[in-house]
Amino acid sequence: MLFQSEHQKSAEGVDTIIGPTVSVEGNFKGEGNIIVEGEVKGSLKTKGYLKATESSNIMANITAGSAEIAGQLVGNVKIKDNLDIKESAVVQGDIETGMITVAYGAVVNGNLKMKGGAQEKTGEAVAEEGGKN
Amino acid sequence: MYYYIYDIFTGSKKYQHQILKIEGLLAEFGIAGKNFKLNVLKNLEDIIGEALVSEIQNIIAVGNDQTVSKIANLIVGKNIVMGIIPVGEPNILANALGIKSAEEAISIVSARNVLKLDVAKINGGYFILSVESKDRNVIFDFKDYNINALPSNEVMGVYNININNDKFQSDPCDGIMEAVFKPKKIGWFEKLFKKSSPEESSGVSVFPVKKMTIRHKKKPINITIDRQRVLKTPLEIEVLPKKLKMIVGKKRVFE
Repeated sequence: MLFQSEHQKSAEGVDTIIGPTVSVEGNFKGEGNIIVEGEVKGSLKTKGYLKATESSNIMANITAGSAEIAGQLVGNVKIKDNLDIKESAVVQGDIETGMITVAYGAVVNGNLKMKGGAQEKTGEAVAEEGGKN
Repeated sequence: MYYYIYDIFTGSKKYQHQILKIEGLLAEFGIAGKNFKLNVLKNLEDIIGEALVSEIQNIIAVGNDQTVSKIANLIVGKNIVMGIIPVGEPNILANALGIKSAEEAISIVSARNVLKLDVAKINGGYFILSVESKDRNVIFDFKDYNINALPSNEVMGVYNININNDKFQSDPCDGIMEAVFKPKKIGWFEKLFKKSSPEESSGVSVFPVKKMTIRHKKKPINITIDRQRVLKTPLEIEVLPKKLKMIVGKKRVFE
């Protein structure tokens, strides 16, 4: 399924768009890519890419492959790969992610835990040190 | 062998000339078959039953969307290919399938390009095109989550084919339909004061559908099915992949 607007071309193969005129309540689970422009209450899970735009208002725990957050979010975030927090974002909740980018001006209140990425880097450092010896 | 089922209204004087022309063209293309002209005594179920017993593989609906819907509801899942010769109005499905006129339909029937389309089971019947409502108290219930329309929403529906040419694409052969919520149109005065950006979205929400329930927050209400009949909520919807074999034209609105 492909969507046509310019905005949506940024995420190829989008399966779900939660637009600004709807409110989703409950445990939303998707397999593919999701764009959130409206309200979500409950939990939001996808193995794919999640894009929460500036107009999004999420009160939910999020689990995704990778994500970009630019709106309001109250809830814990668990991202497998990369989390990109934009300058307009206001995030209240704990974050667990492989990699993170936080733009200047973004508000984040919560604990940050870097899992895979940190371990790999430590592993690489040890390997490099071992190589020097 | 082709069965041609002419709806009751096609027998009126208004369509006499067009029907004669269609019959002439069918003979010219070498695809004339057995004609059934529906009337109060001739039951559609009996004709379809006869077609199944006789192992007829092509049934052509001569009429409008209602004619197509009535026949399609009886042949879903059966080994029959359905074609359309549009006569009268409306003909939304024929148009979506790339059949723009009765004359064009005959060459399309003759070419017999068949696609297996998804249909959706809805409270015991079926729909091919859409289910639509403008009532903001309608809830789309997906069991694990619900979708509610906010006051800025105009219309919501479940679509097999994108008949409105909205900002999404649907494939009626992929086993998935689309639940769509569309915002109200903004007037020119509001547009003047609205912040816009190059990344501005269409505001349309789209959710993949395989199974869901449409219900109302307060009371049972009528919901429009395929733009030509109504059913009362709650409506249980289940997509049945590739259950209707249809003859389609090249100018159809999907790939």
